[in-house]
Order: sequence, then structure tokens, then C-alpha cells
Amino acid sequence: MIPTGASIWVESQTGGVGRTVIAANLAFELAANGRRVCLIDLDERFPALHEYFALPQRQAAVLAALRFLSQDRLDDAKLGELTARLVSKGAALDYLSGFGLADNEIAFDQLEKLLEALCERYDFVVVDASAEASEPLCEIGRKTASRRLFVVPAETVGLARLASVATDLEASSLGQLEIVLNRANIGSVGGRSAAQLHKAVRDFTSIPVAAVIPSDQLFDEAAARGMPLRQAGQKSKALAAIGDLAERLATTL
Amino acid sequence: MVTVNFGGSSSKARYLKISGIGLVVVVVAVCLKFFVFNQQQYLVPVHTIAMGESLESQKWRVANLSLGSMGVRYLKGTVKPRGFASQPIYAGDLVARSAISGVAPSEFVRLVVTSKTALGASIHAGSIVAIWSAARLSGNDFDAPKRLAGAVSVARVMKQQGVFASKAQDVEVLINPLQAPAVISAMATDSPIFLVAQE
Repeated sequence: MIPTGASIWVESQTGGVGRTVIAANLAFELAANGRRVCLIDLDERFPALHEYFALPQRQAAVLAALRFLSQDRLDDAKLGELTARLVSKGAALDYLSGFGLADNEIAFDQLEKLLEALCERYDFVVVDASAEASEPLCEIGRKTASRRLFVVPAETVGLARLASVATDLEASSLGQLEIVLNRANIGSVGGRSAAQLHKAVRDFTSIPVAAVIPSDQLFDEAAARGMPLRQAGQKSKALAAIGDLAERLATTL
Repeated sequence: MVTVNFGGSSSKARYLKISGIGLVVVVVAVCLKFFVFNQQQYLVPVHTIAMGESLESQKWRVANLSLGSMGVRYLKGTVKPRGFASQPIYAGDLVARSAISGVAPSEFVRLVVTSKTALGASIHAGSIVAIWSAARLSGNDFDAPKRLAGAVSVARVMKQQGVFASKAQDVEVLINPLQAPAVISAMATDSPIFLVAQE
């Protein structure tokens, strides 16, 4: 089978910038557009999607899938057993839980094949990738990703840190990398406008800004309640921004 | 396949939403309670804290967030920060508990060791490793490898570049002073050193 789906890698330089929340909600917004979506946790250090969704127990479904794949036994039925179907307000996606740093038996060559196999079955494979990912994982991202979204906190330190790695990012981007500015304090006293943020980023890098996600109380509320943002509040500005990003990705990829 | 439904907008739910102002009042009260009481305070450093620095001497501000079950990973605003940064903590970021060490940096010795082989993917700044070495007996004869030090923290990995770069890799480590002599001795006798990930 020829892979037909696109894989979207959500990456960040450090933890705690909202990468997992964006990956999870982007996946749901793509699913809400009627696409078949698989959300996969490839955070080697602190896989957290299961915590975000308040799932009771983390099971390293990715590792099991890799084992089946290495034995040439990964079919739709097996994949169905390994994935959890997450449903929210008419949007449904399949979730493949991740592995931790301790699981260092990970076979990266098989992982690349697994992503290809998933792209054969789904329209979009959304990957929540590690901050400070290992080189083999970075390499797979560069090779297989249709689009890489690099999440950066939209404040002074975050932008300064982005500036310090911009050259390296540009060298590795292969035209697939875009920046997502998260928790932007737009419109409030002392906050910057989205246009200002775009300009600030353009001043030091040619990597395009894919989206500016406004700071949003509902973001925290959704995380606290273990549910997607679309479940917590349809009027969320952050959700609207992620929805726009999903729509753009759905039409361009 | 396990199915997790986060809930939907059934007709019953819609009916309940509009079934009376009393219910709306209750919902508003519950939401207010959620917003007011579910937020917790988390500590955020004002300036970036370098690895090894004491947390007590830093300036902090408090961020109000509702992180739910993920909140246990981060330093709460209700506790006085103690210990030392085991990895850089950047200004404005939440402080992961895993980034805090109870051991003072003065209790470590900093050494740059050269790993004979390329490092595994799991060895990077912040990793905990053991140091092994096979003592050089004479010429190309080596003793059986022995573990020289454990619970060694990797401070940074220095990449070799250029024409003469080899698989050997220089790594700066923080090591217990009691274990340092054995490692220095191995380096002095040109015995090959290997780093093995422990976590």
C-alpha cells in the first residue's frame, strides 16, 4: 500500500511549553474536519498524552506495535487492539500511547516503518515528539514528517531561545518546519499583537509562523479536566486558532 | 479497541441546559468554584538558573494554573524551593521536580572523560550513567572491564567535529569525589573508558 496520509510532528526545544496540549487538540480539530486521525506519543523523556487525557494507565502501545511490525503481524485488527479511540463532540481519533526513556529497546528503523504503516491507514498522523529528542528520533522526523510544528512560548525568553537555535532549525527544516507561538498574551495590557509577534520572529528567522495561539484560561481548564479543548469550551480563542491551523493543514497537506 | 468518550451534546443534555434558570445558577456556581478553587500556584524563576545553582538564592514569581493531574510534576508555590538545579531551568518555565537535586554541586567533582565508543542515544546532558573501564595491562592487553563509578551525572556532551573526529566522545561529568580517583587513574593509564546509561 502507498502511504496516503500526512504526518505532522509537533516539537519543542524544551518541555513545559504546551506542545502536548497543542498536539492533542490539533489532532481533534483535524478529526473534526472529518479526517481519519491517529495521535501518537513519541516523547522519549516524559510521555504525557495519557495524563492529558486522564487515561488511567500508560501502556506502551508503540512498543507493542513495533514488535508486531518486526514480526510482520501488524494488521488492522492488531492496530485496533493497541489504539484507544478518543471521542469528543463528534470528533473521533485513534490514540497510540508512547514509551519512556527507560524503554531504550526502541527500534528506530522499525519506528519509521510504523509511521509509514500508520500513514497508509490514516489521513493524518499527529506526533507528539520529545523536547530534546534523541538524534535517531530527530532523523525520523526530518525524513518522514510532512510538516513539523515547532512550539515556542510567545514571550521574551521563549523568543530569545528560538533566536539562539534559529540557524540550526533552518538548516534542518527542509522546508517542512513552521513555528507555533503559544500562550500569546494578545490584547491585554503589555501584551503584543499577533502582527508584532510575526514581525519579531521574522527579524531573526525565515521559518514561517504557522499559528499564534492566544493565552487561554480554558486551556488550563481542559487539562485539569482531562479532556480536549473542544470539550471544555467551544468559545476558546486558543481552540479557534488551533482550528484554523488544522483547517489550513487539512487543505494544504 | 478501548473507546473513551469525553461526552457529547445529546438532546437530553441540551434539554437540561435550557430547563430553567435555577439549573443555570447552579452551573454558574459550580464553574465559579472550579475557576476559583482548582487553580494552584506554581513557582516560576524570574531569571534562568544554571545547572548546579542553589534554588534558595533565586528570585521567584508565582503563576496560577490549573494543571490537574500533571501538576504533581511541578514545584508548587506553597513550598519554599530547596536543593540545586540538576539541569538548566529557564526563566518563565515551570520547574519540573525532576530538575531538582538534593545534592550540593560542591559534593561533585567535574571531570571530562573520553568515552572510547560513540554514546548511546539515551546519554545526553542530564543523564545518569555508570563509568566502566578495562585497565590497560600492556600494549593492547586489557583486564576485564570494571565499574569505576555509578550515579554519575552528565553535565554536557562535547561533540568532536572536523576531519580528525573519531567515535570517541568527550563528556563532562559530575562525579562523587570518592569515585573520582579510580576514574582519573584510568585516564592517566590510557585505559579505555565507557559510559553506560543507568536511567
